[in-house]
Amino acid sequence: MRNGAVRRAVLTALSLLVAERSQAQQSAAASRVARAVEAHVLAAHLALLADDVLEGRGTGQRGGEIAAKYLASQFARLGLEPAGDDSTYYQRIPLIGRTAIPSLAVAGDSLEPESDFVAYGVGRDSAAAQSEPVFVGYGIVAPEHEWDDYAGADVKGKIVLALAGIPADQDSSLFKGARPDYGFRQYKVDEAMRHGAAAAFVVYRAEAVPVPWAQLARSWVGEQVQLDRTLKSGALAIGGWINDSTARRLVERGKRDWKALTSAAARPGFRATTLPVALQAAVVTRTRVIPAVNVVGRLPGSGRLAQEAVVFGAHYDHLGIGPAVAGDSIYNGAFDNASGTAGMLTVAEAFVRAGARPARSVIFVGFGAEEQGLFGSEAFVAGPPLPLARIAAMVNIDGLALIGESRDLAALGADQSSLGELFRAAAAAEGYRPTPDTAPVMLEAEQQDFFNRSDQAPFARAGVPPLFLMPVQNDFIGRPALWSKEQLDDFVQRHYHQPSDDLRLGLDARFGVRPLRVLARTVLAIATQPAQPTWTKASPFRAAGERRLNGQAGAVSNER
Amino acid sequence: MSIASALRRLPLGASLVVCAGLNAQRPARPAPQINNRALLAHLGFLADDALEGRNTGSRGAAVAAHYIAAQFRRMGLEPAGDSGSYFQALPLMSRRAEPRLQASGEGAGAELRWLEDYVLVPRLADSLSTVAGDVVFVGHGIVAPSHGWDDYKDADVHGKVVLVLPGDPDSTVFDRRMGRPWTSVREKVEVAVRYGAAGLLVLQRPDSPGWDVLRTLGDERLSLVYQDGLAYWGWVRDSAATRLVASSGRSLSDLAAEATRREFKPVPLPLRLDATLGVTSRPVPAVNVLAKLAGRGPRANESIVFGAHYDHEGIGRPENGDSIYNGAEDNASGIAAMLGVAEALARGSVRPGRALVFAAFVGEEKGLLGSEALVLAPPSSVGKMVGMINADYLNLYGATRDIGTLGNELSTVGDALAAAARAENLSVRVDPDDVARSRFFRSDNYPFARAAIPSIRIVNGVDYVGRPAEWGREQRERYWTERYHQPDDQIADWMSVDGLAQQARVVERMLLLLADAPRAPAWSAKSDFRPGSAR
Repeated sequence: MRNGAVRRAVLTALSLLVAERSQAQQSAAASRVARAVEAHVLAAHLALLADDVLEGRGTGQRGGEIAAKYLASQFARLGLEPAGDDSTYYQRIPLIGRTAIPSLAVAGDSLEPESDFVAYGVGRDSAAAQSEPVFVGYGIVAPEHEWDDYAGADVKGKIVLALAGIPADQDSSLFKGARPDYGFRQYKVDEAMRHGAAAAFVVYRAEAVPVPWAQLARSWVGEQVQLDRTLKSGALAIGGWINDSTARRLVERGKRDWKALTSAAARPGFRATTLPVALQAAVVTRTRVIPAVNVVGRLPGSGRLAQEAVVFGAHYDHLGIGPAVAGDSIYNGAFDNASGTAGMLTVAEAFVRAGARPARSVIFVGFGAEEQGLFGSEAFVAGPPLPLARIAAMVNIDGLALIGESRDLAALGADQSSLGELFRAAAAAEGYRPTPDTAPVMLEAEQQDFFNRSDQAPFARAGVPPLFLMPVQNDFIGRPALWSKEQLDDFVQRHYHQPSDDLRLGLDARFGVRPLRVLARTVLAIATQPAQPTWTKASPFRAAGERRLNGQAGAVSNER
Repeated sequence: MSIASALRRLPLGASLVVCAGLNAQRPARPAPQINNRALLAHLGFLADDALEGRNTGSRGAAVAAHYIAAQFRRMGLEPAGDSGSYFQALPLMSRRAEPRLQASGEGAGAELRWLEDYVLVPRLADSLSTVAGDVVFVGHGIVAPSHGWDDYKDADVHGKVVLVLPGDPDSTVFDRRMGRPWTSVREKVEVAVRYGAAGLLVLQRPDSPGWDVLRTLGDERLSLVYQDGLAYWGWVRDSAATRLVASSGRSLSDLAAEATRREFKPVPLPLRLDATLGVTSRPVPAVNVLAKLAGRGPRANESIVFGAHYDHEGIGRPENGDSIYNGAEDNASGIAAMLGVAEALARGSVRPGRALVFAAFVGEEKGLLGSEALVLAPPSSVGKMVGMINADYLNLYGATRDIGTLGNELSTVGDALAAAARAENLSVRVDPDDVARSRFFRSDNYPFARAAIPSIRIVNGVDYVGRPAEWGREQRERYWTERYHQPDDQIADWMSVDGLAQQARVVERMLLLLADAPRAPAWSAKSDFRPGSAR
């Protein structure tokens, strides 16, 4: 054997040995962290956060403020570094409440607010727009589907009309696997803004919007809570909805055929068209600042990768004090999401107690203002404590099922990125089987779009791969096959966003230990592995992921 | 490290502060580990404006109580409150009386006028609000065997109303500063309870507090509901007192003169006092927070208590635009130390010989109500309390070479302090100013002492590391004059928990010494609180 070969063989053996040792060390570290997850810690945080003295942790309310201070005190106690604004644990969420008085007139005839339309001002207290409206079909720009409803259109300073939903509503061969938000009002208004429109109305369509017009319109009357986003470009000042029958009248006054226009919108090659009728929109808005914060603490990593981080979050806010139901006006949110917040604190404590110092930092976040629309996570993504390119992943808990021991455990988003593999390994280490995609609770999660309804969604849209612990397992030990689904349905029907989501649900912290150990192992694995996780090829977030790593995340993705 | 800035930014590097001091008596026990950043975190939360000054009965106090309970539970300590919880509910009422008090007897009766002639404070459940009794004058109402003084002698006052003179019979007999405050109304109430009296009225004398002060006892006030038979205590105004006694054919000044002698015997008066208390009550939610580290072995049913009050003054009159009386020193500091000690012990593997009970008291600022409630009706899981250490405003000024105390010479708890302080290289100091101001009797250790449970109070030293000799005393004086019970008793940039950690380490050592000692703490021979000395 030649010298070089010997050296190579020795080196190979050595590197194998080193790799093996480091793997063994990693696995020992993971076990240490997992073992440090303790039921009484979870029970303690849960009991406090869900108690009536926290008054339901309402955003802008006293209970929400106390909850935030509690989280900060626990981060401080654990020695996490403050990673919020100005070296504090608090990251301000620029939340405002706006009450709009809108008007809309067609050729001088006033339409009726709430029955014909609703509107809100964007970024300013008084706004007006006047133009012949431009009908932009679905108002979608989606290069991945070779679709551009704004192609060739000039909407600068004009009023835009866009249909709710996506072309697939009329032609199911289109927009397969599309980003779900293409159908949403927020996306359409933002897209119009990017094209310089002065106002954008989304046309209500029963087939594309899951609630009746009356209910939708009512939700827009009174104060709207939102992020105070400074306008980056464009002159758009007004957004809103318009009733489909009203839109139809408007189109017909422009001597155009409603049916032809709407079906053209679902055909590739659709071109925006101006309707020859004078439209005037105006909104006067009253604004107040709503105090709200994320609570952010950092367990510093070690070595070169310490400049990167894994975010482990849970929203601590709930609905606060509200209308009494059966004499109870405190919306405690024990499951939603005192359980997850307590879980996040418990994992943070486990990391500190176990003395874990993984390569990447772990940023623990209690998100605020989730219930009004994921505002805390939106604000975090818009102004992260470190560039998004260096945030390797996000793990979120929104609801920890403390109702039994299960054989299975799942995380939503696992199929979107390489995080799935890490999660499955961590779950296996705690003796869990994967939950089948066809399990009733998983189908329910898909149908109800769980993935887009909690704080992982803004991260995914910004290209950060997330995992969202499935809020309920499928296969509970000692329970019949459909028990889990029944529990979920029962919760959704009777307790979701009700004062009865409180400690009387009988949540038992002992059942949180294994799921939290899995998350602790997962976070540790993400924080330890040399490379950042990657999106799968098929993931709709892959493009956003590439933008993030190229440092282009921010403006575009954040505004969605 | 200053607290305010530290609360904003805590480096991870400031890890556990491990004391290298020697444990003098039990080398087997590990050296105390008090986590400074945890002290800071507790202090910061409890003294935050969001807790609104933690006034007894307020939502701020409720948040504080739940915070403390959450910390106990997190540490894995057992609940020691009511029915398996961490909370002991106080039988606390906000009460206002509108009584009628009718004197009748041979010398013709008279109705006394509420707030004009007398004032009284109801003590029992509202249902027991009609009290009639014969009247006995019991001199100054003092029974102090240690001083050879007994005003009751063998008198039977059971079910009767006792009239007592305020203060003491002879200023040379009773030490008003350090000895048990035999001459206080509080102690006289205690004696009357022990003798089974149904009511106690103090007769105002020319050297008593003015009537404008005394009559405020008739305002709505917080009080515990007792179950001991004494329906009320109160005061009779000097003019009315003179008339009342005269109506029985005796002269108050003559009786007062008799009462200055040791040989004085109680004087039954041919009078009856009929009281209808007319109480309006509102229950006030208030809880002590109690947790236990179980003991092991033959003495596990006994317990050593480490207590600190968590209540403060709440929201009050604004000073410089600040209306929140945060009570950072008084007594978020004591609770922080208690939580620090509890965590160190809970995290360690020690199982002490006696149980350790951690008690966060409510109602201290309203008259030591929480500690009294615990002493009167301890939940069963508390066990038999045999010793108590009290922390009430501890050190936020920095490291010291000494530790302050009150009551160390009264019992063997003081010996434990001496040993623990030695192990931490601290000298034990009793400050004359604290003695002069009777501070042993102004905090939660006092109800324990009254119940014959040896207790001690930990206070701040005066000898600060890196400071001029007089600095410590100046700081104390400034606290008493500028911040005590003011909104300015709040977190400030200059604060440090280094001294607080020292005090916590001393207490941790004391607890283990007391819990492991073969003999339970005992009063010293000269102490007025020895069980025999009060009977």
